[in-house]
Amino acid sequence: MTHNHPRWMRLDNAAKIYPAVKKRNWSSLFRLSATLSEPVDVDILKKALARMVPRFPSFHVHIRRGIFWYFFEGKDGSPEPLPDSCCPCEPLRPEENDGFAFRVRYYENRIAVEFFHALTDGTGGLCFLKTLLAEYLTIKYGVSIPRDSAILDCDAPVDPAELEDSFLKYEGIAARGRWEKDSYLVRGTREPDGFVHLTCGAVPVEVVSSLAKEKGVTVTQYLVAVLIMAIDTMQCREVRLQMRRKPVKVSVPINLRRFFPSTTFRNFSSYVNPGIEPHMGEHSFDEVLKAVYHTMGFEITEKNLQAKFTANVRSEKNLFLRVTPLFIKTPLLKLAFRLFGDRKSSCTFTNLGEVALPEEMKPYIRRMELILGPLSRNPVGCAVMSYEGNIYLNFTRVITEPKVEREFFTQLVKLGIPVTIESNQRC
Amino acid sequence: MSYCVNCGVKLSETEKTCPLCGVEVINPRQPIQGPRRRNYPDAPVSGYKGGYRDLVLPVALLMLIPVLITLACDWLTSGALSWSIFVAASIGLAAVFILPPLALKRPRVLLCLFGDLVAIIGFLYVLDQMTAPGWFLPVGLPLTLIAGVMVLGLAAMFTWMDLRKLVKLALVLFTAGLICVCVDLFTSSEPSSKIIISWSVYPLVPCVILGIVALLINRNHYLREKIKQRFFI
Repeated sequence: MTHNHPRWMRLDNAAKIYPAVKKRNWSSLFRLSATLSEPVDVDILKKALARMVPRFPSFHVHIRRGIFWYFFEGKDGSPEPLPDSCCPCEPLRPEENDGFAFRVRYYENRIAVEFFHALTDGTGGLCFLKTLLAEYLTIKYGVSIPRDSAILDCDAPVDPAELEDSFLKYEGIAARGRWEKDSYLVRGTREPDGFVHLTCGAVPVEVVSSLAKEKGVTVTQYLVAVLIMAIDTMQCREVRLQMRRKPVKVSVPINLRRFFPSTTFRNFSSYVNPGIEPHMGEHSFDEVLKAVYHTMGFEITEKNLQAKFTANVRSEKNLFLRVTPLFIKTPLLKLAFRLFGDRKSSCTFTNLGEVALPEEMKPYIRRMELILGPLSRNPVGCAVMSYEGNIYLNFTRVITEPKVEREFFTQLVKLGIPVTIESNQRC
Repeated sequence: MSYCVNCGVKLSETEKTCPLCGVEVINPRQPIQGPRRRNYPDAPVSGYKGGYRDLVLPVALLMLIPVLITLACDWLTSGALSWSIFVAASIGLAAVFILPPLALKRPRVLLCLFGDLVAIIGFLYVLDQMTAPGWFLPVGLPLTLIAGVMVLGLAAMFTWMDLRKLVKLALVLFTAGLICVCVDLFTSSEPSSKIIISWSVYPLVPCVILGIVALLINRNHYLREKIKQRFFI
């Protein structure tokens, strides 16, 4: 079936910043991967990709420069699957990927898709990967996989709601300021060749959830508190004078679809920055946990989140900004990103939660993972996804010293959580 | 599977050393035989462009265009090269300042500074030849050499020695004072066998005093901490 795609699309409200702040050696990417029970058949992967990409018109595009804004232009064909590289989420160069803003990689049993954040967020990306896997398994093994809103039917027509900019649709009346204190910056020696270290820790869901339940918090809140403790411990070691210690905050992306009835595959997420102020004194784990629990409880409400993204929508709608040519707007957006972006948190912790797959797919999929690409300022990021009883915590790092991960995983071990580590370290 | 004796985490079969602390995995029951399976292909990072090397050619071309235009205009209007030499020499000097740092994969301050020094001497020589010859050898060359050697010496010390910020500040201040004295001496209008310092006393004295204060603060740990405590941003 052929799909009638719009020839061009505006970038959604959150996506507008990403092409502007993209650098030669950095672009905001994330990666979703699935490890199969058998080695990947590249020819079948190509066929599956060619069949399913047109069903995702908002992915079937390349980014172009307009006079006033960047925009997506529809593309023909589909990208070629590429062999995996030594480090995940290498910067995306349009000339290397036929202009597509995502790429599909394969290595042994693994299929991975790396997305430029301007295209989609974790939820949209996960739907894309699941649909790709479903098509792959259908072609390879002939299994019949039930299709729904999480695994799309590639023959069904495109629902316009999948392409909408939900930020504009759910814009509120009140807007909230973006001001926050700057956070402690994790420092270290940058890798001269741009190598991105990946350290994956697998922990059992039931152990972590029972510990979190004991403390009356969610798994995300529990793990965020451990991460804050790890970074705080590092800062205490590096900055002796208590008064000079900066706030330790962790940026936690929030899926707005939980609060607004959106089915879009484009960006529709916000964030909160729970944390502590170490210059006030030493914090125990319970105190950190309480701070995270209350901050997230207060911030993650429909009204608060709406007020937060309404501020961004207002900026986008500002007449002065709209009529400013892109070559002037780009440095302004870069400045805004520097002022309100990464520097407000010491690390990013994103949790896509438990991945649910239909029973028909489970025998063929051993593992599912989410990996964050390198962040622009902060050298360490953490992405989490659970599958079949395990939580996979993937740390991405661009500095040589694994101090955040070491502190984090050893704290988990001290809390009684068994951790299995693997990495992409060089021989 | 083995555990890291240092961190207490279980390590996947793919790990030769603990990725968290670097301790080698030694399991007498499972000795390593042959190469281990890797989670990711063992290949160099592809496409990473360290530095700004790919900017060198466009920047060089951008600089060459005005040089060629001015040379051509000068030649076509007067039949010889006169004023366009100034433009060409200035852009050439700017090129030496800008292009080598862009071209180098890793910053090499000393090499770049040496190149800059040679370029400045060349530029001054061209100016001397194009204006009223005679000032380059007695004033321009020695002054540039002295200032250049001092700056290179400072850069070498900063590169190779682990100096505190206050010591660095003191050295910069002393060097600035000395350069002022040299300029004063070489540009003095009265040729005399005696060394007479005139206006350079005014920058020299505050530079030396501030440099000594910086060194004294550097020696006094308590004072340093007090200042940090009061003035931290």
